[in-house]
Amino acid sequence: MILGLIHNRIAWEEKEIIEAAKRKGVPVKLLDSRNMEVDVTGDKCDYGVDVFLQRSISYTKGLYSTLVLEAMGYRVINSYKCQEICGDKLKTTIALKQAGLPLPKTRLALSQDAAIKALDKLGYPSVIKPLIGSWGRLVALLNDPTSAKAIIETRETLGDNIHKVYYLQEYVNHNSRDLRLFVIGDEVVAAMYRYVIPGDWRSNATIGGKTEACKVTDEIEEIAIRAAKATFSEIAGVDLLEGNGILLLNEVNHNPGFQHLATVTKVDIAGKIIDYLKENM
Amino acid sequence: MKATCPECYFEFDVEGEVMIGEIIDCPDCGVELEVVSVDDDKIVLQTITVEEDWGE
Repeated sequence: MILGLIHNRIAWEEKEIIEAAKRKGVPVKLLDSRNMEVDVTGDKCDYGVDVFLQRSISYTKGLYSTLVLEAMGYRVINSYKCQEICGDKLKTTIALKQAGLPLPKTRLALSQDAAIKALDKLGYPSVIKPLIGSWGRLVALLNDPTSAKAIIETRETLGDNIHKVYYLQEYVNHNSRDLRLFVIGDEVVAAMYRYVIPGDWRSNATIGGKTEACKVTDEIEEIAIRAAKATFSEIAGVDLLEGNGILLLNEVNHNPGFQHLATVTKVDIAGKIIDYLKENM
Repeated sequence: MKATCPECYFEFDVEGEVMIGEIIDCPDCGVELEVVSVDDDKIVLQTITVEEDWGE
Protein backbone atom coordinates (compact mmCIF):
# COMPACT_ATOMS: atom_id res chain seq x y z
CA MET A 1 0.00 0.00 0.00
CA ILE A 2 1.23 3.51 -0.84
CA LEU A 3 -0.29 6.20 1.32
CA GLY A 4 -0.97 9.70 0.12
CA LEU A 5 -0.98 12.21 2.98
CA ILE A 6 -2.88 15.36 2.08
CA HIS A 7 -1.95 18.31 4.26
CA ASN A 8 -1.46 22.01 4.24
CA ARG A 9 1.11 21.90 6.99
CA ILE A 10 3.05 19.11 8.65
CA ALA A 11 2.44 19.45 12.35
CA TRP A 12 3.10 17.01 15.22
CA GLU A 13 0.33 14.63 14.15
CA GLU A 14 1.42 14.45 10.51
CA LYS A 15 5.03 13.82 11.56
CA GLU A 16 3.80 11.00 13.83
CA ILE A 17 1.79 9.49 10.96
CA ILE A 18 4.78 9.67 8.63
CA GLU A 19 7.00 8.04 11.29
CA ALA A 20 4.44 5.32 12.02
CA ALA A 21 4.10 4.56 8.30
CA LYS A 22 7.89 4.24 8.02
CA ARG A 23 7.97 1.89 11.03
CA LYS A 24 5.26 -0.25 9.42
CA GLY A 25 6.85 -0.31 5.97
CA VAL A 26 4.24 1.90 4.30
CA PRO A 27 5.63 4.36 1.73
CA VAL A 28 4.13 7.84 2.07
CA LYS A 29 3.68 10.50 -0.60
CA LEU A 30 3.01 14.02 0.68
CA LEU A 31 0.44 16.14 -1.14
CA ASP A 32 0.24 19.76 -0.03
CA SER A 33 -3.30 20.82 -0.80
CA ARG A 34 -2.07 24.40 -1.26
CA ASN A 35 -0.15 23.28 -4.33
CA MET A 36 -2.88 21.15 -5.84
CA GLU A 37 -3.95 22.17 -9.31
CA VAL A 38 -6.31 19.65 -10.87
CA ASP A 39 -7.72 19.10 -14.34
CA VAL A 40 -11.29 18.42 -13.29
CA THR A 41 -12.60 17.76 -16.81
CA GLY A 42 -9.58 15.80 -18.03
CA ASP A 43 -8.28 12.29 -17.39
CA LYS A 44 -7.55 10.88 -13.97
CA CYS A 45 -4.28 12.16 -12.56
CA ASP A 46 -1.99 9.35 -11.40
CA TYR A 47 -0.65 10.28 -7.98
CA GLY A 48 0.85 6.80 -7.55
CA VAL A 49 -1.13 6.32 -4.36
CA ASP A 50 -3.51 3.56 -3.20
CA VAL A 51 -5.36 5.50 -0.52
CA PHE A 52 -5.32 9.09 0.69
CA LEU A 53 -5.47 10.25 4.29
CA GLN A 54 -6.93 13.73 4.52
CA ARG A 55 -5.09 15.85 7.11
CA SER A 56 -5.50 19.39 5.76
CA ILE A 57 -6.05 21.67 8.74
CA SER A 58 -7.92 24.02 6.42
CA TYR A 59 -11.51 22.80 6.24
CA THR A 60 -12.06 24.28 2.78
CA LYS A 61 -8.86 22.88 1.28
CA GLY A 62 -9.56 19.52 2.86
CA LEU A 63 -13.12 19.36 1.61
CA TYR A 64 -12.47 20.30 -2.01
CA SER A 65 -9.23 18.38 -2.42
CA THR A 66 -11.16 15.32 -1.25
CA LEU A 67 -14.00 16.06 -3.66
CA VAL A 68 -11.79 16.15 -6.74
CA LEU A 69 -9.75 13.12 -5.68
CA GLU A 70 -12.89 11.07 -5.06
CA ALA A 71 -14.22 12.22 -8.44
CA MET A 72 -11.09 10.69 -9.97
CA GLY A 73 -11.87 7.42 -8.21
CA TYR A 74 -9.45 7.68 -5.31
CA ARG A 75 -10.34 6.49 -1.82
CA VAL A 76 -9.95 9.29 0.69
CA ILE A 77 -10.24 8.90 4.48
CA ASN A 78 -12.25 10.64 5.68
CA SER A 79 -14.59 10.92 2.72
CA TYR A 80 -16.07 14.11 1.29
CA LYS A 81 -19.48 13.05 2.62
CA CYS A 82 -18.07 12.71 6.13
CA GLN A 83 -16.26 16.06 5.95
CA GLU A 84 -19.34 17.81 4.64
CA ILE A 85 -21.41 16.56 7.60
CA CYS A 86 -18.82 16.93 10.33
CA GLY A 87 -17.74 20.36 9.12
CA ASP A 88 -21.24 21.80 9.56
CA LYS A 89 -22.71 21.65 13.05
CA LEU A 90 -26.30 21.61 11.83
CA LYS A 91 -25.66 18.73 9.44
CA THR A 92 -23.87 16.90 12.24
CA THR A 93 -26.73 17.45 14.66
CA ILE A 94 -29.29 16.23 12.13
CA ALA A 95 -27.24 13.13 11.30
CA LEU A 96 -26.81 12.32 15.01
CA LYS A 97 -30.50 12.93 15.74
CA GLN A 98 -31.55 10.64 12.89
CA ALA A 99 -29.30 7.97 14.43
CA GLY A 100 -31.22 8.38 17.70
CA LEU A 101 -28.24 9.68 19.65
CA PRO A 102 -28.43 11.90 22.76
CA LEU A 103 -27.99 15.61 21.99
CA PRO A 104 -28.22 18.94 23.77
CA LYS A 105 -31.49 20.77 22.92
CA THR A 106 -30.73 22.63 19.72
CA ARG A 107 -32.76 25.15 17.72
CA LEU A 108 -32.15 26.81 14.40
CA ALA A 109 -33.23 30.32 13.45
CA LEU A 110 -32.71 32.28 10.26
CA SER A 111 -33.29 35.81 11.43
CA GLN A 112 -32.54 38.01 14.40
CA ASP A 113 -36.13 37.97 15.65
CA ALA A 114 -36.51 34.23 15.18
CA ALA A 115 -33.25 33.70 17.07
CA ILE A 116 -34.58 35.62 20.06
CA LYS A 117 -37.76 33.52 20.00
CA ALA A 118 -35.68 30.34 19.81
CA LEU A 119 -33.65 31.46 22.82
CA ASP A 120 -36.83 32.19 24.76
CA LYS A 121 -37.76 28.53 24.24
CA LEU A 122 -34.28 27.20 25.06
CA GLY A 123 -33.97 29.45 28.08
CA TYR A 124 -30.81 31.02 29.47
CA PRO A 125 -27.95 30.49 29.53
CA SER A 126 -27.72 29.19 26.02
CA VAL A 127 -24.89 28.88 23.53
CA ILE A 128 -24.56 30.28 20.01
CA LYS A 129 -22.20 28.53 17.65
CA PRO A 130 -21.18 29.24 14.05
CA LEU A 131 -22.26 26.49 11.67
CA ILE A 132 -18.70 26.07 10.45
CA GLY A 133 -15.75 26.59 12.73
CA SER A 134 -13.36 25.00 15.17
CA TRP A 135 -11.30 25.69 18.22
CA GLY A 136 -14.23 27.46 19.91
CA ARG A 137 -14.11 30.29 17.43
CA LEU A 138 -17.29 32.47 17.56
CA VAL A 139 -18.83 30.18 20.15
CA ALA A 140 -20.47 32.41 22.73
CA LEU A 141 -22.33 31.91 25.98
CA LEU A 142 -25.59 33.84 26.02
CA ASN A 143 -26.38 34.56 29.65
CA ASP A 144 -29.49 36.68 29.20
CA PRO A 145 -31.68 38.32 26.56
CA THR A 146 -29.65 41.54 26.61
CA SER A 147 -26.31 39.90 25.88
CA ALA A 148 -27.96 37.57 23.38
CA LYS A 149 -29.43 40.48 21.44
CA ALA A 150 -26.06 42.26 21.35
CA ILE A 151 -24.21 39.17 20.11
CA ILE A 152 -26.83 38.40 17.50
CA GLU A 153 -26.74 41.98 16.25
CA THR A 154 -22.99 41.60 15.84
CA ARG A 155 -23.42 38.42 13.85
CA GLU A 156 -25.76 40.30 11.49
CA THR A 157 -22.87 42.60 10.63
CA LEU A 158 -20.31 39.90 9.89
CA GLY A 159 -21.03 40.02 6.18
CA ASP A 160 -20.99 36.31 5.34
CA ASN A 161 -24.59 35.13 5.32
CA ILE A 162 -23.64 31.90 6.99
CA HIS A 163 -23.25 33.91 10.20
CA LYS A 164 -26.96 34.75 9.98
CA VAL A 165 -27.87 31.10 10.31
CA TYR A 166 -28.34 30.85 14.06
CA TYR A 167 -27.43 27.52 15.58
CA LEU A 168 -28.53 27.79 19.20
CA GLN A 169 -28.05 25.23 21.90
CA GLU A 170 -28.97 24.82 25.54
CA TYR A 171 -26.01 25.38 27.84
CA VAL A 172 -25.13 22.03 29.38
CA ASN A 173 -23.63 22.26 32.83
CA HIS A 174 -20.81 19.85 32.03
CA ASN A 175 -18.80 19.64 35.20
CA SER A 176 -16.14 22.05 33.75
CA ARG A 177 -14.92 19.34 31.41
CA ASP A 178 -15.84 17.39 28.31
CA LEU A 179 -14.73 14.05 26.87
CA ARG A 180 -12.74 13.63 23.66
CA LEU A 181 -12.90 10.13 22.25
CA PHE A 182 -10.75 9.02 19.35
CA VAL A 183 -12.55 6.52 17.14
CA ILE A 184 -10.83 4.51 14.40
CA GLY A 185 -13.14 2.19 12.52
CA ASP A 186 -15.17 0.29 15.12
CA GLU A 187 -12.95 1.07 18.10
CA VAL A 188 -12.48 3.85 20.63
CA VAL A 189 -8.68 3.78 20.74
CA ALA A 190 -8.14 6.59 23.26
CA ALA A 191 -10.15 8.92 25.47
CA MET A 192 -9.48 11.93 27.64
CA TYR A 193 -11.18 14.58 29.72
CA ARG A 194 -10.53 18.16 28.64
CA TYR A 195 -11.00 20.70 31.40
CA VAL A 196 -12.37 24.16 31.01
CA ILE A 197 -9.74 26.78 30.30
CA PRO A 198 -9.18 28.93 33.43
CA GLY A 199 -11.29 32.08 33.11
CA ASP A 200 -13.27 30.59 30.23
CA TRP A 201 -16.24 28.22 29.98
CA ARG A 202 -15.02 26.26 26.97
CA SER A 203 -12.75 23.25 27.02
CA ASN A 204 -10.35 22.77 24.16
CA ALA A 205 -6.91 21.22 24.44
CA THR A 206 -5.63 23.11 21.42
CA ILE A 207 -6.34 26.47 23.11
CA GLY A 208 -5.00 25.46 26.47
CA GLY A 209 -7.35 23.25 28.49
CA LYS A 210 -5.88 20.70 30.97
CA THR A 211 -6.32 17.08 29.90
CA GLU A 212 -6.54 13.74 31.70
CA ALA A 213 -7.01 10.16 30.50
CA CYS A 214 -10.57 8.90 30.87
CA LYS A 215 -12.02 5.41 31.36
CA VAL A 216 -14.20 4.31 28.45
CA THR A 217 -17.43 2.77 29.72
CA ASP A 218 -19.63 0.59 27.51
CA GLU A 219 -22.09 3.47 27.23
CA ILE A 220 -19.40 5.95 26.16
CA GLU A 221 -18.00 3.49 23.62
CA GLU A 222 -21.40 2.75 22.12
CA ILE A 223 -22.33 6.42 21.72
CA ALA A 224 -18.93 7.32 20.25
CA ILE A 225 -18.95 4.53 17.66
CA ARG A 226 -22.57 5.16 16.68
CA ALA A 227 -21.74 8.87 16.29
CA ALA A 228 -18.81 8.06 14.01
CA LYS A 229 -20.98 5.75 11.92
CA ALA A 230 -23.82 8.29 11.73
CA THR A 231 -21.40 10.84 10.23
CA PHE A 232 -19.60 8.38 7.93
CA SER A 233 -16.40 8.97 9.92
CA GLU A 234 -13.75 6.24 9.78
CA ILE A 235 -11.40 8.32 11.91
CA ALA A 236 -13.06 10.76 14.27
CA GLY A 237 -12.71 12.85 17.36
CA VAL A 238 -16.04 12.52 19.15
CA ASP A 239 -16.84 15.06 21.88
CA LEU A 240 -19.24 14.23 24.70
CA LEU A 241 -20.65 16.31 27.54
CA GLU A 242 -21.61 14.86 30.92
CA GLY A 243 -24.70 16.93 31.65
CA ASN A 244 -26.52 16.09 34.93
CA GLY A 245 -25.44 12.45 34.70
CA ILE A 246 -26.49 12.12 31.07
CA LEU A 247 -24.00 11.80 28.21
CA LEU A 248 -24.73 14.21 25.37
CA LEU A 249 -22.96 14.41 22.03
CA ASN A 250 -21.40 17.77 21.34
CA GLU A 251 -19.47 17.34 18.13
CA VAL A 252 -17.78 14.93 15.72
CA ASN A 253 -14.45 16.07 14.30
CA HIS A 254 -13.37 14.53 11.02
CA ASN A 255 -9.74 15.69 11.19
CA PRO A 256 -8.93 15.38 14.89
CA GLY A 257 -5.72 16.54 16.44
CA PHE A 258 -4.28 13.92 18.79
CA GLN A 259 -1.05 15.25 20.27
CA HIS A 260 -2.59 15.86 23.71
CA LEU A 261 -4.56 12.63 23.55
CA ALA A 262 -1.55 10.51 22.58
CA THR A 263 0.58 12.17 25.26
CA VAL A 264 -1.93 11.78 28.08
CA THR A 265 -3.02 8.23 27.21
CA LYS A 266 0.31 6.91 25.85
CA VAL A 267 -1.65 5.32 22.97
CA ASP A 268 0.13 5.08 19.59
CA ILE A 269 -2.73 6.72 17.71
CA ALA A 270 -0.67 7.34 14.57
CA GLY A 271 0.29 3.66 14.50
CA LYS A 272 -3.34 2.61 14.86
CA ILE A 273 -4.30 4.94 11.99
CA ILE A 274 -1.73 3.28 9.72
CA ASP A 275 -2.91 -0.19 10.77
CA TYR A 276 -6.49 0.79 9.95
CA LEU A 277 -5.48 2.17 6.55
CA LYS A 278 -3.60 -1.05 5.72
CA GLU A 279 -6.64 -3.15 6.59
CA ASN A 280 -9.28 -0.90 5.05
CA MET A 281 -7.74 0.76 1.98
CA MET B 1 21.00 22.69 9.41
CA LYS B 2 20.93 26.43 10.16
CA ALA B 3 17.65 28.30 10.59
CA THR B 4 16.72 31.85 11.63
CA CYS B 5 13.47 32.73 13.34
CA PRO B 6 11.75 35.47 11.29
CA GLU B 7 10.11 36.78 14.45
CA CYS B 8 12.99 37.13 16.92
CA TYR B 9 15.93 36.49 14.56
CA PHE B 10 17.26 33.76 16.82
CA GLU B 11 19.64 31.47 14.91
CA PHE B 12 19.42 27.79 15.69
CA ASP B 13 20.30 24.35 14.37
CA VAL B 14 17.68 21.86 13.25
CA GLU B 15 18.63 18.21 13.50
CA GLY B 16 17.49 15.34 11.31
CA GLU B 17 15.31 15.24 8.25
CA VAL B 18 13.15 18.32 7.62
CA MET B 19 10.14 18.48 5.29
CA ILE B 20 8.71 21.44 3.42
CA GLY B 21 5.52 22.47 5.19
CA GLU B 22 6.79 21.09 8.49
CA ILE B 23 5.99 23.06 11.65
CA ILE B 24 8.93 23.96 13.87
CA ASP B 25 8.75 25.94 17.12
CA CYS B 26 11.40 28.64 17.58
CA PRO B 27 13.44 27.46 20.58
CA ASP B 28 13.83 31.04 21.75
CA CYS B 29 10.52 32.84 21.35
CA GLY B 30 8.42 29.66 20.92
CA VAL B 31 6.44 30.89 17.93
CA GLU B 32 5.23 28.23 15.45
CA LEU B 33 7.08 28.45 12.16
CA GLU B 34 6.66 26.68 8.83
CA VAL B 35 9.52 25.32 6.70
CA VAL B 36 9.24 26.91 3.25
CA SER B 37 12.54 25.73 1.75
CA VAL B 38 15.38 23.40 2.58
CA ASP B 39 18.78 23.89 0.95
CA ASP B 40 22.04 22.01 1.66
CA ASP B 41 22.68 23.59 4.99
CA LYS B 42 19.99 26.16 5.41
CA ILE B 43 16.27 26.11 6.20
CA VAL B 44 14.02 29.05 5.41
CA LEU B 45 11.14 29.52 7.85
CA GLN B 46 8.04 31.70 7.79
CA THR B 47 5.53 32.64 10.44
CA ILE B 48 2.13 31.00 10.19
CA THR B 49 -1.12 32.82 9.57
CA VAL B 50 -3.96 30.83 11.10
CA GLU B 51 -6.84 30.97 8.68
CA GLU B 52 -10.48 31.22 9.66
CA ASP B 53 -11.33 27.74 8.43
CA TRP B 54 -8.55 25.97 10.30
CA GLY B 55 -9.54 23.42 12.89
CA GLU B 56 -8.97 19.96 14.25
